[in-house]
Amino acid sequence: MNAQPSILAVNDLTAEFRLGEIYYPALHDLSFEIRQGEIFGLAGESGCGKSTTATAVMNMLPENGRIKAGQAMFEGRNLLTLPEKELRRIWWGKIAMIFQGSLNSLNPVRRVGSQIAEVLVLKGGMNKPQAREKVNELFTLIGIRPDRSRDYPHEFSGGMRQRVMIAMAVCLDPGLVIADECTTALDVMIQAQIVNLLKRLNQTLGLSMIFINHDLALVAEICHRVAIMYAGRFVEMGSVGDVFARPAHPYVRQLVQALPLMEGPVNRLKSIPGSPPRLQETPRGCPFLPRCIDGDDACANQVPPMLPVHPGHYAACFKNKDAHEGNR
Amino acid sequence: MKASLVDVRNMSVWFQARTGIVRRGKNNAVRAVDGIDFEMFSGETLALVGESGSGKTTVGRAVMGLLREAVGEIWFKDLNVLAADRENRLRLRTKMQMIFQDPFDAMNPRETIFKIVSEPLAIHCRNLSPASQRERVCRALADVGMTPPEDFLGRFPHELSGGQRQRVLIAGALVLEPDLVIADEPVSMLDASLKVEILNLLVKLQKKRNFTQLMITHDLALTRYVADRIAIMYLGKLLEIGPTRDVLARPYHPYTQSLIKVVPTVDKAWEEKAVLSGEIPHPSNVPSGCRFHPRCPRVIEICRNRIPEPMIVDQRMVQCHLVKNADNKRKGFTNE
Amino acid sequence: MTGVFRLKVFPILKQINKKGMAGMIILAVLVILAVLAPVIAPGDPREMAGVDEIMLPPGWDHWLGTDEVGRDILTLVLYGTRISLLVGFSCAAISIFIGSVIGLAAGYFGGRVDDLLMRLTDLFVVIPRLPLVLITVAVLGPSLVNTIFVIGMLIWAGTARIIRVQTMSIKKRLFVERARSLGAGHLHIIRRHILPNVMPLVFANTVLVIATSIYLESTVSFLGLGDPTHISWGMILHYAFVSVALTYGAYWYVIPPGVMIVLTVLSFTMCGYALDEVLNPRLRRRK
Repeated sequence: MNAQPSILAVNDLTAEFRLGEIYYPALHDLSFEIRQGEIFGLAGESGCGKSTTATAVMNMLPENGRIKAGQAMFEGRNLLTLPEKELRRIWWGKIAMIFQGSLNSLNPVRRVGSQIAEVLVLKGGMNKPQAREKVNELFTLIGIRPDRSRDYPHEFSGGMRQRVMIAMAVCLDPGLVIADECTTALDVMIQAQIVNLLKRLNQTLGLSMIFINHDLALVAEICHRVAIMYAGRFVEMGSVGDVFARPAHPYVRQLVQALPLMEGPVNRLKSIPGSPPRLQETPRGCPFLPRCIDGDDACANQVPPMLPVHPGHYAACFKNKDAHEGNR
Repeated sequence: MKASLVDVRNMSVWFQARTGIVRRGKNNAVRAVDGIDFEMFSGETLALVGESGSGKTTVGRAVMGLLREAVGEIWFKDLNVLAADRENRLRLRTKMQMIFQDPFDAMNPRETIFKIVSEPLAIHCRNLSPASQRERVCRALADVGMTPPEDFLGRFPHELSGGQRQRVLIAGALVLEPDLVIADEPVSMLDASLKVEILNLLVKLQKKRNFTQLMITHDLALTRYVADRIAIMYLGKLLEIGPTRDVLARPYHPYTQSLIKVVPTVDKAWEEKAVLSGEIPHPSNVPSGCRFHPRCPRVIEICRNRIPEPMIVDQRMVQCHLVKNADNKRKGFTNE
Repeated sequence: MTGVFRLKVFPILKQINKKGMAGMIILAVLVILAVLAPVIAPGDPREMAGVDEIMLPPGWDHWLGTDEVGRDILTLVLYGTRISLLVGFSCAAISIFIGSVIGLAAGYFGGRVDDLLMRLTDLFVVIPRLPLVLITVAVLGPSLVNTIFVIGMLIWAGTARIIRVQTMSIKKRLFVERARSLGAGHLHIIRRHILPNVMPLVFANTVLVIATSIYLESTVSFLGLGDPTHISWGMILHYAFVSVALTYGAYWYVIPPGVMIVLTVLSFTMCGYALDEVLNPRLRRRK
């Protein structure tokens, strides 16, 4: 997999949020790269910072957030220092985002096809006939009959609207798509349809993707590589095979043990006692220490960096055991 | 043969769309639940699984006796919930309790935890002294793992975490010591590790206090760990019921088969699955014959015209024309 | 209970913006003036002085001058504060009571009860207030009680609507459904869940209703239909008008009551809007 060039390289991304008057660190020294044609997963439980990472990389943090350090190199330029005008050209055209609530962000009083066509004309520089042609192509791509492009959003179900949003996201042939919780709140069957669509787009168009989701099973299914986040940091990164079958970080190990399977023996699933630190608390050492069975003093004094477990497989743990067998 | 605690017979819930001052007839009805039969045995956990529009939530509310639109029979021990008079309905409330999906919204943000957990006592046991009330609330909180309970009595919902809120709600449901607990998607709003925590808690409590549980969920993988039997619903109909591990290992109904294939688990890699095309029709516009026929990968001619009869095939109830070797009974399989 | 107090009052105090603070300060001053009027007023409102005390401009003896029968205007204005505030609070009380009952019933029971009550409310919304108040007072006879009664009876419609909407929204919340699933009756649900969540809105609305009542009373009195035995600001303006004060250039007769009316209505309005701002975000879900 190392042969593929990277299209996005993030180094030491650090961001913070303001609560009241004080700024609290939210993301700590995140470094990762997205390779051409891969689906990269950002996974973790709520509050771990995965959605924040995406908005930070796109330099789209809300008003009370700010980037403190780091770079996000895309096509030779640092997204975090680009002026807004340049960023606008990249948003949608080169990097597109699909959000969880996006299926509700279609204009209810305009036909769906014309909303996509508008993007193509305004940002893609197409004329009307070209845009219409492309809309038909896109609808076929997402598996909806092209003549339905003349319908209004309320005539589509939730799953179909999400697919339309995906079409809108890829209509300008971006190099990278960021899908943030785009399957949550959908039925499992519709989820599967969306997953199929994303996989197909990745395989046929070579679309690179960042897939953000709290459902680790979904991430394991669809992604090539994954980074698991905890308290604003990466705790493990590698191929999904490595991370989920041979987890090296205690948190990830326990998390995987909490996930139900459809096959195999039915022992009681094990939960992880305690809860993650809040935004206002930034422990000096490893953030997982209070809940970790293996921890010791070394873990309390220094935040473990991402250490190699195996080629391409990293875990932020001083105690990581390299390439041990999965514990199912 | 275990005792049957709940016996639902030919129950339907049709919501009339209110159009103007004069109500229209059956044509506009939303058939949320359409003629279902099932039983629940004492001490078991029955998982009611389905996607949106399946009617599973409506079934839960109907069994609780909360829906005026419910018709048919719902027998709870020796009482028909749907035909009970006011006094009996009130008595039933102490025997059946519900746990809701969104623990934050299920609590009045202005009330303390003590008030929230003691609300059932305030309604049904008005003669209890404040000290007894406090004692019962503390005992319930301790049972759900909120220790020391006294610390939590004066707190407010917004001060608790998601997992803690759900625990409080469970405590509130158990304070009257019900025989039946209906859990409506109790963990779908929680993170993966919290889901496990709460589900393990429910299992533990069920063993300790010996209540029966109807767990309404859309998460098929979890049912394997918590449910004795599983019932699959689709568009208001019960398609398949049976022992959980059996149904999940050897599903008979094509819908069940598709659902299982599509559930993501962390040990499986993606294959372009046999994903069902199309979407679930709206409950006001149900297909003729077998509800599932427009999307069924194994549809045959009869499916379009005739609603399949429930059939019993080794401890399993299935409603599908494809299932042969049927003992053509209405229902009534035993659970050994 | 202290928990609830903590929850309700202190966050409110912290969040009130400058407008609200200003409104509250003015209000506090007015209430003090009203309460202490008999003590601090330099004269007796009924005392009519001799001919040489008529229409005196502001001076050391009479800070705001005198009227056409020699009464000290400052005294009149101070006593007027009592009447105006009394009217404001009384009318608001009546209107809030009627509006709450109707709004709660309509919102909670829905269906035909709702339809009926809302048609009734619509009636009172549509009818032009001022003409109706004037006609009714004229028919019943000018007295303070009549004025309060009529105004109170006619301005509940806005409150009813607001409370109805809020009730309907609370009714749908999951904790109400939980209460119902626990076997709670209507009274329990209304008393324990609906009312506490509706009251803050009522509170904010009350303040605006008071402002409207004071304004309406001033108008009624100004037009001569007020109670002649009680001096309100509107009455002062009425006498000023009748005695053709402006032609005499007696600005001191007209400006003080006018300013008081404006100031009072403004202060209540500012408080009302500030309260609304504070209370509304809290009605939204907190994550």
